[in-house]
Amino acid sequence: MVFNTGSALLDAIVLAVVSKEPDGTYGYKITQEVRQVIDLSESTLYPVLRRLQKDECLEVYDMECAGRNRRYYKVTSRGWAQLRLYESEWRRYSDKITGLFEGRIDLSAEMDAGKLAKNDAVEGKTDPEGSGDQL
Amino acid sequence: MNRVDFMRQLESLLQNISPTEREEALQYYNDYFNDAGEENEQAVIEALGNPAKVAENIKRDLYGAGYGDGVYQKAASSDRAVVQYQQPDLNRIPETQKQPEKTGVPTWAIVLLVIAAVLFSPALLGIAAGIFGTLCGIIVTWFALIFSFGIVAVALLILLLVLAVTGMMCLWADPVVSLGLLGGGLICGGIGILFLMLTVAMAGIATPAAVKGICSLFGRMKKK
Repeated sequence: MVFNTGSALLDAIVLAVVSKEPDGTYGYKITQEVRQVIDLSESTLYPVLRRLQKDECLEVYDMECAGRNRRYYKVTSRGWAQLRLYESEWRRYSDKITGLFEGRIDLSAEMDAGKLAKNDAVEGKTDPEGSGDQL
Repeated sequence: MNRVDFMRQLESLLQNISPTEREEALQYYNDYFNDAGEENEQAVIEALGNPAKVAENIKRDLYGAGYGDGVYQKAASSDRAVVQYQQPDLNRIPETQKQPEKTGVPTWAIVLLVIAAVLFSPALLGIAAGIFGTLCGIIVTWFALIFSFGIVAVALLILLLVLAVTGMMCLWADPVVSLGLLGGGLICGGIGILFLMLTVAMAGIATPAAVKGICSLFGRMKKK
């Protein structure tokens, strides 16, 4: 992929994937699901899960499955709050980029408004001197 | 390389991190192989890359040089995409939160004041009644003094008249007694005049001055 995924976005994607399973999900499954969305090396995911766990966004528990213990990951209330933040931030971010690509954002209008404001300030400063010359 | 080799290499590469972190990581990758299934063992090893790369990823995160810097906010702020949109957001939230706080504090104060007033009302009533009673006492005493001084003055002046009349009447019969009576009467009259002056001073000068003083005091308090 052309765009690289920053740590915050990667956290957001992992949180979103884990949040789809209310009862928790496990490392291999998370990795496969994340890889359906973004292209990343499989060894990248463990550090992300570990960090999210340390930040109390994910909680872990072991459950027996097919005769052995499997570690499950589950989103905490703090993780949910973080995910909501990421979602709203992503919406703002992607809306602006998409708006720019599709020509919905009128850049020239905003630029003109900025220039006008500056010009007004300059005129305001020079005006008293001009009237002084006239007198 | 098979799964056992992979795990053994990974374990030896993770010797220099804390035992807890090592156990966590090894358990994760052990689970990973289990969940992938035996038939996918080689595919997983290929996908993970060599153990050195896996170990490097784990350590890089632990020492805060790679993805994330341990603390959550730090990880977010190191990412430009989030920073630019998060910062105005962070500024906006406190502003909107400040306003309800400003109005919230006085209502708390009012509630506390009401509770305090209810709790202390017996004591406050007592104190207020005490002050009121004392003030009334002072005023009544003041006017009583004026009245009594006036009475004394009138009585002494009457005494002067009586003594003067009797002194005049027995001036020829007993001049010594008469002179004594006249002298006593004049002394009484003098004292009576003094009392009259005191009464006039208290009633006509001191009282209006005190009233004026109290009025101006209240006026100042109202202005404040």
